Amino acid sequence: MADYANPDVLVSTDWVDQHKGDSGLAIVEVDVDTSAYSEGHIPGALGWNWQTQLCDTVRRDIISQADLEKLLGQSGISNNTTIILYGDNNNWFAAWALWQLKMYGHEDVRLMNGGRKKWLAEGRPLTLEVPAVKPVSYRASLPNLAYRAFLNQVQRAMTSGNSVLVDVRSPDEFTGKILSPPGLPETCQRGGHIPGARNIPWAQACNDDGTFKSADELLALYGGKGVTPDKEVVAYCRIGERSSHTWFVLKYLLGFPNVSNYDGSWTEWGNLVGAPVERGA
Amino acid sequence: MHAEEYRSEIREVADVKLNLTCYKIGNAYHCHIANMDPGATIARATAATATEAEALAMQRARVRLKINAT
Repeated sequence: MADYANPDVLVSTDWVDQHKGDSGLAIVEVDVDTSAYSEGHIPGALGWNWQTQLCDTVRRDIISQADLEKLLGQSGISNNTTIILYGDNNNWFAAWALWQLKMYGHEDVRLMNGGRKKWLAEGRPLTLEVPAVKPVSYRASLPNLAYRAFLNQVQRAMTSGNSVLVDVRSPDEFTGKILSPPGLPETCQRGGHIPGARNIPWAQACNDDGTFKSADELLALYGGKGVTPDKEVVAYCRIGERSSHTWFVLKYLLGFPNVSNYDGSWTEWGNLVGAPVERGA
Repeated sequence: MHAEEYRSEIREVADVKLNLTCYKIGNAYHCHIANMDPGATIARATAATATEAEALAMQRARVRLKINAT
């Protein structure tokens, strides 16, 4: 049985329960449902809002280096702090936060396997108290753009024999049957996928309890669709957040050396004039 | 304080499959409704009883899905 390539990037709910008061450790909740934190959270955990704190709120972009330094500094997180991220829905937006933290060079950042769902389902302690934080100074690195794919790179990858595009949206979005998931705004002009992309919905990497599938299961899932470590892999979805989860799986759990997240994703490609689009399975 | 009565189930509203997650924290009952993929929030509600929280969340989900479809 294979092990994860980097098992240290995951901690269990039990580990967090035992270490949640440790110095040098920051626990941060990042949910898709931005009001979940205020219902109750892990004692000592901070809450970050992905809509206002983990992106540029003016232009479409990830958080800037300066804003990340400000966010971490105000959260009492220094460069050598171990950050444990967790969130709802299979750690969806916790993975989005991790992708950005890794891009800006934070060394020790991990996900709590199973996220908020597992913590709640196990009946572990919760609090409404927001921890008092002593601000510190944080210095981020320049973004490592090897982790992020831009449009021109994706256009090249589409025609490169050594690249594979992984579309992690639902099959109905991939085939073009729908333009966006139910209840969400239709933010693209055309439905379908980038020609040649393989459809592997992001949540297939997780078990029902929110934990990640075993390394063997993940290797079979991605390898079965031709997504292998010898290739340059570009993951995308609708706005780049589901694909940050897949990026984490491929890069850290499976140890693929060359994986990037195309956060422009379908809301960029599906709005481009003249961009090739494939429909159907 | 911890979550109690945690449950998750799939429901169908206006031909859309939704994931309901309901639990109690402290004295409050919470019900969260998300679409199946990606699991984005469609509606949520907090109330004094589980029945009220679920009914309110479902009502909000119906409104949101109907608005989106028009």
